[in-house]
Amino acid sequence: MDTPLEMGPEMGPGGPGGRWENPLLALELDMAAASGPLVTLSCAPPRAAINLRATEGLLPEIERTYGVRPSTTPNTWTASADGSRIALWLGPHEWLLLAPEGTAPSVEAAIRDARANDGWLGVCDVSHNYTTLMLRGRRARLVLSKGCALDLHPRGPWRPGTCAQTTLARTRVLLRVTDDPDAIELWVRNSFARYTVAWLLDAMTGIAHEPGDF
Amino acid sequence: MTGRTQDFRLPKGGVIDRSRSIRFRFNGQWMGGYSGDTLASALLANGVHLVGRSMKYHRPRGIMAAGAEDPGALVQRGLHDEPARTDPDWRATQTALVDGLEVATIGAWPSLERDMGAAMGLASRVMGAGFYYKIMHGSRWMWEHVQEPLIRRAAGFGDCPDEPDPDVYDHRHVHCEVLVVGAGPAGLAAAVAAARSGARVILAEQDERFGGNLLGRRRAIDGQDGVDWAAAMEARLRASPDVRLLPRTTVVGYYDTNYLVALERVTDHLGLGPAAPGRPRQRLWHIRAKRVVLATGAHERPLVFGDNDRPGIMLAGAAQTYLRRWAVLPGRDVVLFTNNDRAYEAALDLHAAGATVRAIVDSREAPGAAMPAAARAAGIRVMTGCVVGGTSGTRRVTGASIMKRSTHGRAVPYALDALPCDLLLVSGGLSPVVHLFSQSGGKLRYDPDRVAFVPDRSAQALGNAGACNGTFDLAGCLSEGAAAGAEAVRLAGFDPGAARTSFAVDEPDASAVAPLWWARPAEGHEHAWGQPFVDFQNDTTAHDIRQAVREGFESVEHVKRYTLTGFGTDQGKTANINAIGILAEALGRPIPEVGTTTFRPPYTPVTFAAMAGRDRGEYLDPARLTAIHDRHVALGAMFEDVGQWKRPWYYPRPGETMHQAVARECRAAREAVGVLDASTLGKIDIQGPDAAEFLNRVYTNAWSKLEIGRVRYGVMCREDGMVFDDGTTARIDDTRYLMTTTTGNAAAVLDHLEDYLQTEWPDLRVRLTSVTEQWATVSIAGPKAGILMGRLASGQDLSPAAFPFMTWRPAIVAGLHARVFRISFTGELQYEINVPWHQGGALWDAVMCAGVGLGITPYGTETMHVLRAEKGFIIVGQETDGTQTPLDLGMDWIVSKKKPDFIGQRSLTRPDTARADRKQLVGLLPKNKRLVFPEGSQIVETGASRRPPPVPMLGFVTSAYWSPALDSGFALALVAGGRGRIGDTVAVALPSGEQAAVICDPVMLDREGARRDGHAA
Repeated sequence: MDTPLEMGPEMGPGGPGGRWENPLLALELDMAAASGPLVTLSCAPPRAAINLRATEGLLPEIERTYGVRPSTTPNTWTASADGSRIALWLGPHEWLLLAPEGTAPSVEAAIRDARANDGWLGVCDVSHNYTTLMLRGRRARLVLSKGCALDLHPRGPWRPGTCAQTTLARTRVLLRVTDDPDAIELWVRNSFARYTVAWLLDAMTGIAHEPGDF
Repeated sequence: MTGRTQDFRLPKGGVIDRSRSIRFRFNGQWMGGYSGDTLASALLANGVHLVGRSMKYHRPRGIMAAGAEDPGALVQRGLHDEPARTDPDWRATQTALVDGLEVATIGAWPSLERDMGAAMGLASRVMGAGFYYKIMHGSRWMWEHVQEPLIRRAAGFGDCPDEPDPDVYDHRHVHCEVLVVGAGPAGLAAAVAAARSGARVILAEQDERFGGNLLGRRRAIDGQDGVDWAAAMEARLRASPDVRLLPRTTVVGYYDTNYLVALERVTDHLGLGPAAPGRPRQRLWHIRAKRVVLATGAHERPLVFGDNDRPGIMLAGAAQTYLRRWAVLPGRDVVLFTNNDRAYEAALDLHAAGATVRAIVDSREAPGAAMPAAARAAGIRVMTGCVVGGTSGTRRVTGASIMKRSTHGRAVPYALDALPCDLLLVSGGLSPVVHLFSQSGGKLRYDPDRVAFVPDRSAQALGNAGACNGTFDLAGCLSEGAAAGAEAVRLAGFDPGAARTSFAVDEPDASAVAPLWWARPAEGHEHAWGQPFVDFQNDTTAHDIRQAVREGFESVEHVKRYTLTGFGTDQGKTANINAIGILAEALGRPIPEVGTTTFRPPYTPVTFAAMAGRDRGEYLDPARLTAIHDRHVALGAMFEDVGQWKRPWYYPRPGETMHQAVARECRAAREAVGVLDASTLGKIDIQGPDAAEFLNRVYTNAWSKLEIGRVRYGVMCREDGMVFDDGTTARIDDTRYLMTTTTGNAAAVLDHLEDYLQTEWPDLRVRLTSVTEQWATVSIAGPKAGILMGRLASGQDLSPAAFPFMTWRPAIVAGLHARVFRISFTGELQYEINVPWHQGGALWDAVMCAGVGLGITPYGTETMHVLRAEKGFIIVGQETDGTQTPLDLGMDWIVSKKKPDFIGQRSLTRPDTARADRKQLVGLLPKNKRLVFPEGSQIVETGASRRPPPVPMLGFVTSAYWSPALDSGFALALVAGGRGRIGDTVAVALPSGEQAAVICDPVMLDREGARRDGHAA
């Protein structure tokens, strides 16, 4: 066989059918009910996500094609001016590149084409690998501190511009502190999404509204 | 309603709120107290000293201390009022008094006042050291049927609730620059000094009130009353935004890298019953601190003498605390027995409060100057060079026998005087609370001047301040605390400013102390004056320790275990140092040579519920769900746990048994079309120019020639040559492959591959990414799968020539972009359709819709197991247990003879792995076709199980099912030399007897593979 078997460029949620079923649909009412002025939990809208493995010498070309220079500082993220593209540091030589929904194939192809013969380059569409949650509010960090060992104090190391792969309760999570220090994005594998939400809703019990000290 | 009045409450004073009266029940009797009381202080206010019975001899026991160190005042809370919330082993000394509190004695039967077990006390001479060990080494039958039940019944440490705990317990992680443990004078000074820097400071105190000993002593700091000073410091800390105050919080464990665990009793002091939503009953704090300041204080030691355990015998400092903090007079007729000056103040305080102090009995010939002078000035008789040799009384002490000490230090065995008393105060000196320091890895040193083990070398970033550091005077505590707090923030990178380290304190000089480990009567009279208890919770006496030495025990750790000293809920807080002193005397060695036992977490007991926190029920372990999960639920599936995954097991129709459902599902897949959610298989994206070489090395077979669009089955071994995992890998393009793994092994395989790439073959240009959850997979199998596939993907040429077995094609399936794999785990024509995860539900719906009229039937893992077993396909973990090579499994065809190397290759030629009589995979057909052997059944030669043992085992059944296609039970099995025995009849040993079975080829259905292109229908 001569032609490589590639997915069409329209692959993704915008492709034929275009159906993107949210596994948390049934929990959205619960999430709204548990949310309050001090903390809210919601689903983040779908985005394209590409796992990038590359040597640091490749980063200028990644920047040229993708539009954002991935950071080499551990546990940080960089973004395009409009915020539509975000590169999260995952590990040495590993990043997660976020882009508008449905653009994963074109982003992947562009990066691959830029370094067609680079054996150390790995690009893989993982747009559907994750479910993304947004925990926002003055008590967001407190909720997480019930099951996450990181120093989530506002003056601790986890400030806007940082991200971390860590554990929350009994599951792995990719945590991104957005530009708002009280708005924290949580990326979990799809199969863990309902567990994570159930755990978060439990952790939020009674503290989304009540101003007392917890 | 009968009840007691607070006859022993002084008319004024104390740190209690007299405007808030509290009523509580003790053993069914109503009593009164005040807000601010502990259960112990309220009981004493009502004149109650007898609160329990000791575990071994059932001797009456009272309240000895005022804090965590108390060994005996344990009660059961809420046994009748709230049986689900009842809790044994509440320390009366640390239980906040709440309205309606119901507590009862534990370990007394049938009642506290009349205890059957007290007869045990008479048997104490035969129940000495090692009693339990000795009877355990006797008759096993006697132990199991007589002794153990009796001991458990008699000992009893309370009742556990029978129902699930209805309360919420929680965990919190918190980080800080400085953690101060203990809010006595040293801890408060440390926290205040640290807080001014802006560093994050946590102050944890086990008591509900800050101040420590300042609450129980008459002291002034800079002219301010000690209680007020503590309140002022607390207010100052409360106003600091960077300070977190944690009252009612016991730091119970000190682990590596300054990680400490603390238990906060959040709502216990509010009484039982449900708390507000989100308010846990208790909270376990996980604290990670840059620096730690330990200010954990000291425990007073009791003295060891005859019958030193009667209710009314109390630590001198505790009596002082009951008097000053709770305005309770613990007795009216007082004798003090001491080996130090510090305890004199207790006698003076009680005297000033109106009690009669009959005498101060001092074991030293020459006590210090100031305190004895003050006692004499108050008209108190001071008897130096004397000891209390024995006591009288049953449920309360009634008198003390005073004896002179001989020049050898032994008590002259007749009473110099017999003093009546209802309160016998004892003080053997102070032991710094070095538990956390020791847990942290710090080393201790024995200080003979202070008669105490004190911190020596630290192993972690910590400081010690105050009494826990051997600094017992208040001025020293304050200045050491302030200095330690300032130093801690400085080392954490903050500027403490100019810390104040000098405080004006008016305090008597009371530092003189001389060791007295046991007021031991002269030779021959040692048993005449009653039992000299060392460990009050385990009823260990000084005689037991000496007996252990006589029986050859020397190490302090061995003596501890033999005599049970230092076990139990109090962990020997009042016992351990005295035991070491007595052991050192018995061994004739200095105390530093004897050393201490190991201090282990937790400092005080932690409820299991607090340890579990929210890790209960659905939160304990995630249930991983596929994109199609809700469809399975709607179809009424029964689920099976595979790792963390919930996989449909079978889909029973109303009224169907599992057997019927599985048989129906099997027939559908063999005769029509079945559909399986296969999303849980692990999937790894492999890319890079060296990917084929990488696969060559990790799989046993060859991969270099696999064409784009083709799929191959592979087995991977560990270095030992044993099968680790299996699955198919497809070539996606020139340099890209998609590997599948078994469901349970997905993470382990990825780790295994990454490990080799990063450590063994860093030169291979290969990148791995887990895409398990990028895809949802719906697998259709059966003779009509082709028709169904045609309906779903009308544009695709499905002819075997265009889309042959073991290939994959991109396709539009039901309007979705999909990857379709023609692989088969059933032997039938089978398509595995992969679509992006979030479209998995849509694909399932489309497949079910398109299957109408074809007899489409969802099937679960049980049917999948039957179908694959009929074809002789192994499941890793079912046919393998980590000791099977591919050759054992009959997979010679998959082990390359030409490749230079692959993981495990070398091990396959080891003599043991090349043996001909290894257990080999075979099929097994029962002679009685109705039989389905239990998995794991042993296989023996016919008649072997009737011969005398040992019976040689030939092997065992790995999988066994009912096959509708074969109309018979069948099994896969591992049998020694099995491939050479095909056709032989062997026996499966069942409890009912041997059952005959014939060894056969593991492939039992469609050996020629006619079904896989769908023609067999």
